[in-house]
Amino acid sequence: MAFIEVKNLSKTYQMGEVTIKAIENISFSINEGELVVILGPSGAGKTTVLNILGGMDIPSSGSVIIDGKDIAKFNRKALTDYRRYDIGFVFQFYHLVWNLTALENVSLASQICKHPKESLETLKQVGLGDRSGHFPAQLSGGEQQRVSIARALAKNPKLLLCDEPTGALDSKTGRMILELLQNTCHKEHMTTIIITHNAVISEMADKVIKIKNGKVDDILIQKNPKLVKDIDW
Amino acid sequence: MLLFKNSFIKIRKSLGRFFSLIFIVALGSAFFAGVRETSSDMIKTADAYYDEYHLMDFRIVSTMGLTDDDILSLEELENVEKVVPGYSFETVVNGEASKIYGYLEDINKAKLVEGRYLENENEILVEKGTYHLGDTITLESDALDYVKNTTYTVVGIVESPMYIYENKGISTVSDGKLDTYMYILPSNFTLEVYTEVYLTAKDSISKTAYQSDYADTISKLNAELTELKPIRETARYEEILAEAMKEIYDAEEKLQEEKSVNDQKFAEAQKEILDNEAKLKNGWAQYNNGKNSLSSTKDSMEQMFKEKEQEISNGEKTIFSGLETFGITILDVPLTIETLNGQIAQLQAMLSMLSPDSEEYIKLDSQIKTLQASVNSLNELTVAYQTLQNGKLELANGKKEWEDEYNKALSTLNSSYQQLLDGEKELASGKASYEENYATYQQEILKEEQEIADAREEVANLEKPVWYLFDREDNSGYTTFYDSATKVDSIAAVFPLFFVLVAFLMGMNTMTRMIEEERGEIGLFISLGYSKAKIILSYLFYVLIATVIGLIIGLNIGYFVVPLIIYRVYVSMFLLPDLQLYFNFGVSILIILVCFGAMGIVTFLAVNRNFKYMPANLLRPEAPKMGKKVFLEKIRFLWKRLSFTWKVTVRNLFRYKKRIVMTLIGISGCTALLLTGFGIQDSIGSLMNKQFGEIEDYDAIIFLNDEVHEVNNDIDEVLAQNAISSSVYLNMESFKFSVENKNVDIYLMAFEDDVIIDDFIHLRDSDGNSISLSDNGVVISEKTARMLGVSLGDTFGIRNSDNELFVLKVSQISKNYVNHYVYMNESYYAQVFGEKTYNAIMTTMDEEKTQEIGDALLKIDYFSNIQYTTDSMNMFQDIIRSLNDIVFLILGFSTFLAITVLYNLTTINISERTREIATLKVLGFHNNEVSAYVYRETLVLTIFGVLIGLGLGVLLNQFVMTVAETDEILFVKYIYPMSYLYTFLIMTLFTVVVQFITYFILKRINMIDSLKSVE
Repeated sequence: MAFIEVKNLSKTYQMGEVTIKAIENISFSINEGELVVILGPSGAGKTTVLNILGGMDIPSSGSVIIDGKDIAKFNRKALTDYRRYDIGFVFQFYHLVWNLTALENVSLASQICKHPKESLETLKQVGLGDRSGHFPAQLSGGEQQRVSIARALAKNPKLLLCDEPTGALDSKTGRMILELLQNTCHKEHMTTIIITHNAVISEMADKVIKIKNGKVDDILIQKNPKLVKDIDW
Repeated sequence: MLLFKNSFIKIRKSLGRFFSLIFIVALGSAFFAGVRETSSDMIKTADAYYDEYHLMDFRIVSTMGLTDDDILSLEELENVEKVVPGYSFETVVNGEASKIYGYLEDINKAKLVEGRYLENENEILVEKGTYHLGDTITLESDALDYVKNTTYTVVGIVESPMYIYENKGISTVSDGKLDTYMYILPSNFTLEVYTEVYLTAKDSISKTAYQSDYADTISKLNAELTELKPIRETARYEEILAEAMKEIYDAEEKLQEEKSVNDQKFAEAQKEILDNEAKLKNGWAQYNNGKNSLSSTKDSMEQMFKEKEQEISNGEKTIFSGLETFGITILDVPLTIETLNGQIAQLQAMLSMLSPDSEEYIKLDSQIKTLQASVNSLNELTVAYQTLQNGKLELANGKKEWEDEYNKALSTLNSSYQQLLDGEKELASGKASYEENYATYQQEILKEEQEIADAREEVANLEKPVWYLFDREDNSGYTTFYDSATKVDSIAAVFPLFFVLVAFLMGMNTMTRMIEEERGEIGLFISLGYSKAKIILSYLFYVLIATVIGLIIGLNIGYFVVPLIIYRVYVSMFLLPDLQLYFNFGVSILIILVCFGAMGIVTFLAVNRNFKYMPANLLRPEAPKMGKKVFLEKIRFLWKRLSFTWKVTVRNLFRYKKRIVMTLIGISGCTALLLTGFGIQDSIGSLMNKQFGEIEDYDAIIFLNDEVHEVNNDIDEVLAQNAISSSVYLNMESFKFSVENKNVDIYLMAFEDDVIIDDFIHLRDSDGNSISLSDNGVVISEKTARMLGVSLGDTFGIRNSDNELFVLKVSQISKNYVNHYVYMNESYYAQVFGEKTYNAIMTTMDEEKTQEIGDALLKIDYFSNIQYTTDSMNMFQDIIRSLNDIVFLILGFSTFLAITVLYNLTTINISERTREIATLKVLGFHNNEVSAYVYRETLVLTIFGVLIGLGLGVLLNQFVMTVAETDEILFVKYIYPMSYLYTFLIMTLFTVVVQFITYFILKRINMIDSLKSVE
């Protein structure tokens, strides 16, 4: 059985009298250590999928079995624990705490985990060992995003979820981030899911899940994904 | 228009914020308006009461009374409105010092509470709370010096604007404290002069009492009165002088007249005595003459009688010898004669038979002849004897006659002798009584002459009568009320200012945050081409709606609720009508302007700040504030020890400096208010414990009916019989001293010499050392010394109710918290006042049975009145109870303020940091961890705020207590440790409550929405 098994996942929002179907009958599976890109245009429902996978939202129907547990059946408390121990998030806008240094931002996450990685080590791992005492405002966007990745990694999660991690970065910095993610995935055998609307990025993935209008449009398995540096931007 | 619609929608969407704005405005304006208005309402209420019952502006009392001439000249004054003469006197009724007034219709009227006003001379009006309708009041007979009746029936229960305070001032009777007052019809009074006259000044009724224009108005009359005073004093002096001189002249004239009449009388009497003496002498001479002539007459008579008796006896002898010849006794004579005559007849018969010539015849004849001769001689002898016998009878008669005559003369003589003796006695006693009368008379004359001389001297020494001019300020109730009312004002000055400051800061905070949150919307409006003015207006509209609603609520509470609460405290001390509530438009407009201005400026500044950005910038969220190292990190050893979460907390604390300041001000302010509230309670509560626990230890003061000059064994015995365990004699009197034109009552206590009074009153100096009374000075209470500004060795003056001044020297100053006392021993008292005297006994007794013992004692003639310490304590407790209302008011407002501030700050804190909180949630922080992350900051701020607040509270409490202190009270500015704890706990509780509420806000924060990318 695959590490992640998503079956017939649907999410509908009730907006007054109108029912909006954000996603409908989505099914896919992801193996442990895979780097998956979920690709789709704006409003296709990919963020909804990510939110559900990340335990930030509950599906209307369907099941999401992660490492043998169906998180679709989790209550809020269990979801919080799930986020706390199993998930690492990387956001488009980093969402660092501005009043904490890079190291502290990492520690903020790691201190609540059961088996965290050493915060400073993680920072070094993302190449910011010498900037650990800097505040987010003193860091560039790419550096901030690396702190954000370090924060996610320090939790030693089962799953790394990245929502448009390069969306707010220039392409050069973006590539550095993607490279970091790919390396981490490969080196640490970390299951990583990247959500993006940028088709180019999908070239680096082991698996590409294309979503359109709330449905899985196509699932593409790439036996030999390109290294980020080899991708032609 | 759409913008305004938008405002309404905003209100609906942010009800919490909108209400908190309303609340802040309401709270600030209510407290400000309410506390400020209270004193004004109180003064207006009092003024209306004074006006309605025509409280006098001036009262004049003269040492020699006032006459109709005085009244006339007063009426002629230019600035006078009413001049009403009246009568009053003080007496003891049922052991209480009572002032009896003649009830006047025009001035100082009494407010009828029950019953009716006076109609008959035997009716009386009494003070509320003393007697009941239908009670009979019997005045002591000394009242007859003033009034006709001594027995009255209560027909009405009244209150008087003259006596609005529990403390009615001092009295000349009983314990020196006036206990109550009564009214009777003035026609009851029998005095020749008025005891006082009341005046009102022109236009004074239209002025508000206590205010400066009232003072200005009456000062005109005051000036006139001061001018008139010496004139009338002199006039009255001359009048009295003339009267007295006339009396003296009359007396002298009368004396002269009396003298001349009496002198003549005495001269006559003396002459009569002399006449009588002469008469008596005459009488004695006559008597002696009579006596002599009687005795010589008696001698000659007796001689004559003797001679006559001799003569008779001689005659008889002759007769008897003649008879002897016949050989017969006188008794035989008639028979012999008969016998002889028979013989003659026989012989004659024989003769006749015989011739004449016969011898026989011749013989016979001669015989007859002889016989005849014998008969003849016998006849002759008989006749002679008869004659002699007659003579004898005559003599006897004469003798008898003489004896009668003699006896008669003798008795006449004796009676005249007796008369003379009586006369002599009479004369002697007459003479004695004359002399006595004369001496008495002389003495009387001397006495009268002395009296006249005395009167002359008295006239020579006649003191000028003195007019005492009193105005309302001399009425302690009147001034104390003003002090109390203005005290509210002083407190009002601090508290509301504080509220307004906090409210202003809160408003600013709220609006700034609101506009920050809505900068995107502002950017949108600008980019859509709305004018700045319109945008600002839409926010102003929002704010002003909140402000208007807040003001409506706040001003209503402020003007119509708060004064009533504060006033409740005072009605317990003052007898005044219900508070009249006023809406103060001036202040309201000020409050409205301040609120509108403050809120408007805050809004304008907050909105305007955004206009400097380009709309595009505005459409993006404001960049979060940059993180910074805090100074604490430099103290590495400390910083290292902090757990990670605490590091975060500390960093966050210093991140939002404005918020720190706001929170600290808000929380410390509320804390200070709370602590002040508790502090007021503590100070007043401990005051009672200190005064009645640490200082006054006696249970009662028993007043004597008659003053004694030394310790009286009989009284001691009675006390011992009535279970009085220990007692000390003292003289207790009321005096007053003046400070800054204000008269303050002071109680004098002069104790027996050499008695340790520590069993009754613990006199302690400021270091807590025991003080004893000395012969060369007095011990005065701390507050008295402070008000007078005297220290050890200084002198100061006190006056009695007749305004006589006595100067005392301060030997010690003792701790004391309630009332003013001057303690001394009797030796010093005698030095100042002339003689030792005791009018009361201070005692301790079984505290459970004071009333019982007291009732028993009052039945004994020695005692007139008892003043229980528990009564004073109860009175105090009432005041404390009512002050609690104010404390609760402060506590209530502080609570609301504290909760509002905390809620406001926490919600703003949360709203500012929604993204951060959402991040934490995403990272898997549990709800309680998220809350703790936010609360820890609030908690730290609360603790710091509370600590600062406790410090501020101590200062604020000091200030409030200083301001609230009355002349009679020295507050112990002391806050119990428990009060600090309570304040701390209450603030903590508020914090917890607010955090509990905000927990749900935190829980509601949606991670996904909050983290949604802004594109």
